[in-house]
Amino acid sequence: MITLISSDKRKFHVLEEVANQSLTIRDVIEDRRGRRRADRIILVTNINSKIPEKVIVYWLRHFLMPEEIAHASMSHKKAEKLKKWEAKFFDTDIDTLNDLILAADSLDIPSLFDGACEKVSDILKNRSAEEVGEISKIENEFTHEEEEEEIPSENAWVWRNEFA
Amino acid sequence: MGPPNKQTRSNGELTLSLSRNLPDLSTLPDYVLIHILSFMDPKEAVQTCVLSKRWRNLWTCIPSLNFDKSGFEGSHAAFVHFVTNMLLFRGASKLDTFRLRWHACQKVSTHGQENCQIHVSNASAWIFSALRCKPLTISLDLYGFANLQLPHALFTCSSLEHLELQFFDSRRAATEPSYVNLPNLKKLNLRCFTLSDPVMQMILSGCPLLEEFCLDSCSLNFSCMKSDLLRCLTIINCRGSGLVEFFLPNLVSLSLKNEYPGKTKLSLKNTPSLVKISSCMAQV
Repeated sequence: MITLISSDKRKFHVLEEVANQSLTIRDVIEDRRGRRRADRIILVTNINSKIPEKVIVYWLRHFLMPEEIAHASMSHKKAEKLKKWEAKFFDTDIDTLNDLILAADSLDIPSLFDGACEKVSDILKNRSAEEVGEISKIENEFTHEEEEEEIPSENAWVWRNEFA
Repeated sequence: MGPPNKQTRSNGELTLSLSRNLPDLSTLPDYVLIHILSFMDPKEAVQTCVLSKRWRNLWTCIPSLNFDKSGFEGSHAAFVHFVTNMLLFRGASKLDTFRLRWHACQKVSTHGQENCQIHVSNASAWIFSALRCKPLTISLDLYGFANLQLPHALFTCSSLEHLELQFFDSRRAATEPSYVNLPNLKKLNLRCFTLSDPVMQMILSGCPLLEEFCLDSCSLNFSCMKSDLLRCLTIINCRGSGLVEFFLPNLVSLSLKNEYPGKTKLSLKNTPSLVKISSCMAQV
């Protein structure tokens, strides 16, 4: 059993086989095979209990459907079902996605990392710079000259669509 | 992914510290933002340069480029202008994957439709500049260009591990390599190729590490295929003129699929490792 502890001191007990989907945790388990149970506590600091909860839900769903099966010989129907489930799982606000990305990166869970990054890219797509700034709280920090002249002229080729 | 910021305490606990002060995208490290950009369509990714100082040049580091004319809003000339500029401005940044999917318009002379044949020379220039960045994967799907010339360097690129080629044109011979030396290639997918004995021989001897080979809609004009390392072979909708013999001692997986009945006879010799065969033939 692996214990994850979040910043608000909540404990999450997970089966080793399930937590193995994190390559970081898998390495820790490998390194400490045969040691005391207390050794297998992982503190996930600076992050509230919402994220470990989500990560574990993700793990459980994927544990029931191992990667190899998911790629090679999984039936079309099952693949569709998993896709629908993932779409729903990642349908959340940008702050949660942000935290999921950080957690997936630290815990080294490639499929969760990719899924959350792809969702963020979907959110940013087809929006104006102002909208993106609003959603993601990016401040542009450009000087007046940069905003008015430098950037538009430097990148004019991206917006050019008319060709004689 | 970058290295996780983990610390192991003396009492054996592992602490994962997720640095996070403000709930926004700015806290994500550059490599994460670049990963997010790589899921976007190239044009949208470049347009993020107006977001902030930090984002201004992030797009130049995207390691995976996927240019697809069918998903590009604009004419062939606009597509050429965009791809050329993007490759020029990103320079020699790390590039793992380069994909180009570009189909020529069908009716060249029809009034109102542009002649895209005049742009074809750009494709070889793009491939050439991609090759300079030592990519691992190149995937080309070019349809209907009469005078396509592939750069010679495509078949001698030492970094390549996966190559996917799909062409269909009236002068197919132009796309055939004259020399192959891909020392690290592990996976090769060919579509709409004519493979004679000399060509097959050249490919197999030029790709000494080849493990996976997929032939799709090819003409199998060769009589023999010999490889000691090949593990996976897939043959889909290929036509041939006669008997083809395979000497593949390390073949593990063979997949055959043919929707049209043909006269080709395939003969497997000495395959002790073969464990998986999937076959779907109209007539074997």
